[in-house]
Amino acid sequence: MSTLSLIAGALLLRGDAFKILRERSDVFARGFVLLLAVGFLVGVFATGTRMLTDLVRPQTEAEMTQTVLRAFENSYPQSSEFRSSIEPYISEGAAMGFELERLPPNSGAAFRPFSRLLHWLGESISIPFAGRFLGLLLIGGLFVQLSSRWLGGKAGIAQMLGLGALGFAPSLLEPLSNLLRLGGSLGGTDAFGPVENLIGFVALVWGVAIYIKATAVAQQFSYGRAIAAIVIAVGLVILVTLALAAATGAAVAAFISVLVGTVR
Amino acid sequence: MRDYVHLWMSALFLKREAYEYQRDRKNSFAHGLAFIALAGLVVAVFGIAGAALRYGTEPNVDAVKNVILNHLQGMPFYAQFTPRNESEFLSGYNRVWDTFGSIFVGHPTNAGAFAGLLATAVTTPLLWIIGWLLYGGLAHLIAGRGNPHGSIGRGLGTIALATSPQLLNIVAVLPGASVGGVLIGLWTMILNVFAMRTAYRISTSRALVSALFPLLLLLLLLVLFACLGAFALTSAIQGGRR
Repeated sequence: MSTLSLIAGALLLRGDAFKILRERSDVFARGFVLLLAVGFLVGVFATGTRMLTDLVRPQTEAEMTQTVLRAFENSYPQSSEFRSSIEPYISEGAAMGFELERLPPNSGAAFRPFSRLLHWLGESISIPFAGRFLGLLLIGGLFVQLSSRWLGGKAGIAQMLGLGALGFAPSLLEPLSNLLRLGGSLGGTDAFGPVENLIGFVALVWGVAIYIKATAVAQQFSYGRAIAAIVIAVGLVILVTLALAAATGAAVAAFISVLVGTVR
Repeated sequence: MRDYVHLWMSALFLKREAYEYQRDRKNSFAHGLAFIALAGLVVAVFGIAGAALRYGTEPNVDAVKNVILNHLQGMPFYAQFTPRNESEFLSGYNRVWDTFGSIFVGHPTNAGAFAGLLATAVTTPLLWIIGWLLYGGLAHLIAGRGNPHGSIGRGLGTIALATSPQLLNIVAVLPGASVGGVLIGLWTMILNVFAMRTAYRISTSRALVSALFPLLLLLLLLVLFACLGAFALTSAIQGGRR
């Protein structure tokens, strides 16, 4: 079974594709290759369209500063007094970024395209290894495996991780969003924003549906039990995160109070 | 070499046969040692190549330093500096840049950092081997206790395969590429449990406890040292006041 037919099988929720993968001894390797291929493609388009926009319609320093300021104002609406005090720092920071980005590489200005190509490849290959791909696969797989065991699941961790990777297949829709964004930037319009959001929503729902099926097939569960295992896993992740945050906070607070108390 | 690549791929993707093969082969410990040393060397060589590539594709370090300084000087806080403040700031800026400049730009910026980078070809495998021996030895205390299958040599030989995800760091040879350290750590932990279970023929829960034990001990030591550090600091402050 090639990676392409695996992706097609996952997207069409074909039960036989899931079952064939489950029985393979290289189930995790196959799943990882799918994750790598999808993640890399997403990265190539995300990084590529950004670079293309910069190349076709390069921003001036003033435009870039305006963009950063607008983004800051939208994210942190503050009083006008605060805004006027922070604005010079943001403007100077944006100008610094603009200038740094335009410095020639050590190998000479002629090598700038080669340098850009390497950065494009580097940033693209990082995407499958980022938290939203590999991180989600490992953490999700680990916790769902744990909750599935409590509910009587039969999969090994390699099967859970391998089949869980199929849930990333709908991320192939992301390049479509990138292309729309590119069209919007070049045309100077935000009209595609709602369509991009819709594509993101569809990919999310589709991915969740595939993950539920993957859990059901891997663990030899009913869909109801697979959903229960995933819900328990999400609850566990939230609990562990809260517990870790509380423990870290308590440790830091205790450390500071000891320090302050002794100094007094 | 092809055997090592095959073993690495099989271990990375949790193929049980790889771990059983490593456990049962003659001189499992020596093969584990060779696996770790080779993996460490490969990661170090790719790290050196990556630094060379970044040097070629990144801007001149002095140009970067000057651009940052120029814009810091353009910020309102700088206008309020007295001449003394300014000279202190500049000397601090130069000191920080000399110490951490190579981290900002991703390649050595002085002779010391360059020598350090070349030395990683020796220090990386060495540190990995020390870490492996310490980790494996401590995990053996739990996994091997009262266990008829509990040979430390076979245990260490099998656990060596759990370092496989570290080799993914070779991706960072490309400028701008990175692999999340926490994710590599998590993957390594999954492989450690798998390796421990296979090497010692124990249950998953016991393998999990064995795999976590060295880390919990390390955490405990860190907390202890932090407390001792805080105590020493506060004593020094109080002593200074008297």
